[in-house]
Amino acid sequence: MTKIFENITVLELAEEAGEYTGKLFAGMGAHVIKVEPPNGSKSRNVGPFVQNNPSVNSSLKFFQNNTNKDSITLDITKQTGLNIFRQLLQSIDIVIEDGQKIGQENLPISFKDIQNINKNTILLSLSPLGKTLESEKFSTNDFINLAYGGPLWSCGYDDHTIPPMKPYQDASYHISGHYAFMGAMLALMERTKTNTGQHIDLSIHEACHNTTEAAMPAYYYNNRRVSRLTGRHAAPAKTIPVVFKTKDEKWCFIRIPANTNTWNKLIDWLKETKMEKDLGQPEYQELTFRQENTQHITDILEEFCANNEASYLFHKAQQIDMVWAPVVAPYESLTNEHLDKRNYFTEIYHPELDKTIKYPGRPYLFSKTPFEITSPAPSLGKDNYRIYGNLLGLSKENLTILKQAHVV
Amino acid sequence: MNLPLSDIRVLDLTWVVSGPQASRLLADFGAEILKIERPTVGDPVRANHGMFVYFNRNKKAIQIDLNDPEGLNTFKELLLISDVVMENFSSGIMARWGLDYQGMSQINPSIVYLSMPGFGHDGPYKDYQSNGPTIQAISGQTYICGDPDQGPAGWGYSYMDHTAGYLGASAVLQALYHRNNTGEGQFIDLAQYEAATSLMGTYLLDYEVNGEDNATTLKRTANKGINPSAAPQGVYEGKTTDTWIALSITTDQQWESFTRILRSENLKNDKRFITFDTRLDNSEQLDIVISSIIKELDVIQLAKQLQQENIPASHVQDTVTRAEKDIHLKKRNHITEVEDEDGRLVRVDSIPFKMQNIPDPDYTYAPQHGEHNTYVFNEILGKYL
Repeated sequence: MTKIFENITVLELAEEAGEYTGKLFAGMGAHVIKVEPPNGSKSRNVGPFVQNNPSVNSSLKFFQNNTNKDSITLDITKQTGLNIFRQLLQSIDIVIEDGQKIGQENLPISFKDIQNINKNTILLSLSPLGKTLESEKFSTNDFINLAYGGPLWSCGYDDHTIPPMKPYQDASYHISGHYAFMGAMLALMERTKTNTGQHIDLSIHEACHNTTEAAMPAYYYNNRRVSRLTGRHAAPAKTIPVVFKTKDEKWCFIRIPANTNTWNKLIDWLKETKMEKDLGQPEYQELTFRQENTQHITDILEEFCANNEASYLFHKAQQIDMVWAPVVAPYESLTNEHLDKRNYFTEIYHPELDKTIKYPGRPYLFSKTPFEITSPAPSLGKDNYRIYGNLLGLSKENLTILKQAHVV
Repeated sequence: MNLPLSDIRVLDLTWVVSGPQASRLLADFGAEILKIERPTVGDPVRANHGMFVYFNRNKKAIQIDLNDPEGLNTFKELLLISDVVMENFSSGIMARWGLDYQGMSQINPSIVYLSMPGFGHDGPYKDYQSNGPTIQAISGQTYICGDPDQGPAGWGYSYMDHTAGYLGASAVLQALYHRNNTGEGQFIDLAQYEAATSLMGTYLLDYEVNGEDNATTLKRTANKGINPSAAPQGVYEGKTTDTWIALSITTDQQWESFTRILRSENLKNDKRFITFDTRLDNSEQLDIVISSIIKELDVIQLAKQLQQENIPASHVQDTVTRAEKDIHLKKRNHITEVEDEDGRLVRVDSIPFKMQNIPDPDYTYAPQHGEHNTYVFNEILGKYL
């Protein structure tokens, strides 16, 4: 099948922040070359690890974020390495960087230099505050990005003696990676009109700030400040709980239907187990009455959840058009029947482990140019010979010398 | 200078948040978004004015009843002169009007059609309904966020509405890029459940490779990291109730600076906390000691001091501090203003990246229900109502 980016080559000088963007390009057919220091990207040191045994080729997080990519090693802080980097740039469409490697004073290469080498190249920078604020010190990581950008404030419990809670690992990098990808796409589309690349300067902080849904509108338009609430939307005032424990010691997310037809289906369901109590009374046919009695309805539904298993609640609720769902652990998706039927997972053989691993697949399903995972994350420097040979014509002897000099 | 998508027209049938987030991004990038609502009832999010404005700026609003044959014909006329159709209905809704991809591509073969149902267009759950919390619950995002001694906390908002929107806009950009190169349109089935699961890959691989006994990511860890962990790492309350600082210390040098800033010789000399490994082993006691010290401090000031020593730290910013005091948002003019229908200036957030050759977009207020009927039906289609 055709690949959208089959003619696009990306140099990825990225670690935790930028490599998700590279994965999105690689999944749609771009040739993504990960340029790593000779001792490996820092993201190779972030767990979890295969058998909890940290090594340069055992990070499962690295596995996830670097599928379909090639890896070469290159120390661009050395003059020889920088010269090789300049040669590589001649045939590159996009450079992704997230580590202040471009434009930093002690590295004699700037975006202007890159444009002088190849005016078509697009440089995509992901940085904590934006490149224009690079001179300001700001030490950060995924957790701190979420605290500073706003998401953390909205997540946690009704009990405010318990601190705000961070969401799943890497959320800030996914948020910023999505925006970075869009920026690069716009630059690619613009390049087809102008034949010129450009620099995209993304602020991770601003991306996180933009990703807190009702929080900023509530302040901008209603001058109200939201506060965290267990398992539900942070809001200016306390709302009624929506996540309840089930008979099988799991949880279920519920929502009281606003639509009266759906409400009546819910009552019929409750009647089957004699749990409807007074909810079948005529006054509950009015939405306003139901809204005034949300706590009472919720109390009954909490008891209903406690008497039933999460899976049953999910499927039965969905059959009557309610958006309920089981609160499951991430790994439970591995055996989900729906994902299985849609052939969502891809099995990839890892030669270094002599093991086939099932990967979660596409973020979207294109009818003619599908996102695909075709190869595992590369071991460190796996593609040195092929890429330096093919692109630059370097021989094995050349590479041996460069390796001895710790350039590759 | 024209914005990158200034030659693109989108028929936008999306509603609530996830779809409108996707089309708002395309609007910000210059596309003409025709937000199509029923004549009698608009997008239900109109009931929350702030939310509606936030997710529908820069769009044009028209009224079409697709259940009415004349309305359906009008839609098909617009389809002929548009580039993209997008919706976030449940599976099967568009087919009722003959507007599935097959139907629409017969009218306009190069059309890009983005559909964003919760569970996609086939599979056992294809008729199931969802919103952000549904998708977050079933994908594991809700479960994994929170304190191990409590139930799940989950996201405090519909993160997946944002994220499906980001992926939806990204998908449209890719499909347009492909269409521009080949002339070929296509259908994109963005199942939000799959989109959410694709973000949880690290957790899935850990379980699959290491098994239930050895995986380290199966349980909620509150604010602790996974591996390599930091110690201390957490969110600690300051002297003002419900003000918090997040911090993360991984090196001995950071630890030395931290104890100096806290002016705590006891902490510095405590044998339980001398090395990274001992701090990690005694992290619960460490948290107790640190919490008692930070409880006496101003967390905003403390975060600044820690940053000066290269320690990852931040005040946990609420909406007020982000809007009023965040110097970094101010310096990049990230929060800007737009005129509302009464001429008052209200705030909006810019897109979070700057393009070297393209200026930031001008933002316009979200449209009123049917505000652009005359423009679209008269000027574009030449109809006189």
